[in-house]
Amino acid sequence: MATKKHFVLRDEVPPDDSIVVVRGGLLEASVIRRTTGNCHDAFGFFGLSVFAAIDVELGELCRSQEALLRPKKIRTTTFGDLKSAFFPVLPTFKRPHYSIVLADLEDGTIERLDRCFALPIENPANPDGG
Amino acid sequence: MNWDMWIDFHRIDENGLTLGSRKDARHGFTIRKGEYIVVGEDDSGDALAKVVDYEPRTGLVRLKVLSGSAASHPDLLRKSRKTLGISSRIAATQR
Repeated sequence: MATKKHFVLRDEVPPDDSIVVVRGGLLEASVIRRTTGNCHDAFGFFGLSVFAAIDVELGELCRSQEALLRPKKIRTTTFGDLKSAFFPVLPTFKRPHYSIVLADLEDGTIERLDRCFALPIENPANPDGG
Repeated sequence: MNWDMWIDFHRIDENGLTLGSRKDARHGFTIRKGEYIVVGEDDSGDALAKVVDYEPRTGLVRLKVLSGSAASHPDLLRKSRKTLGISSRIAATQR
């Protein structure tokens, strides 16, 4: 049986509800299942990695994170919308990285998460795609 | 380009390394610490990454992903494909 890895939560004040949360790509259900499943295998919880635009504009955030430079599209939500939909968000690894926690990978849970995010928009860091 | 391993580019640990999983490697692919591999994801394209650490017991792979696409690092890519014994296929895709 695989051993779960430990991870450290950052000691910080929870971000304001209005802060924008960004995920690169279209956030398809298959990707959510795959990556949160991997997170569960490694760390014991279903976590979706996202970045938060804290003290920076959306475009600046996207240009500052290697992972957000790549996708043509991004999707955004806010800490408030995630909280309203009962998704805890953990301050994991290095700021501004966060993990949205899913209780399970049931269709209803993934659809509820999808509804938190706005429709895909052009990535301000990759306007031409790449 | 075919990936050696699917990764979520967002899963970055406190050391700036991207976390992958052995189960997302292509069939028959052997993960070796220190080697460069091609990683990718549909929305983000491909990239070249160095295997910094691999834990066979858990399947967790820590990768240093290089900026840009895999093809933007032709020398390392060629070396990687040669090590993996698939240089002829890559040479064909680069023509």
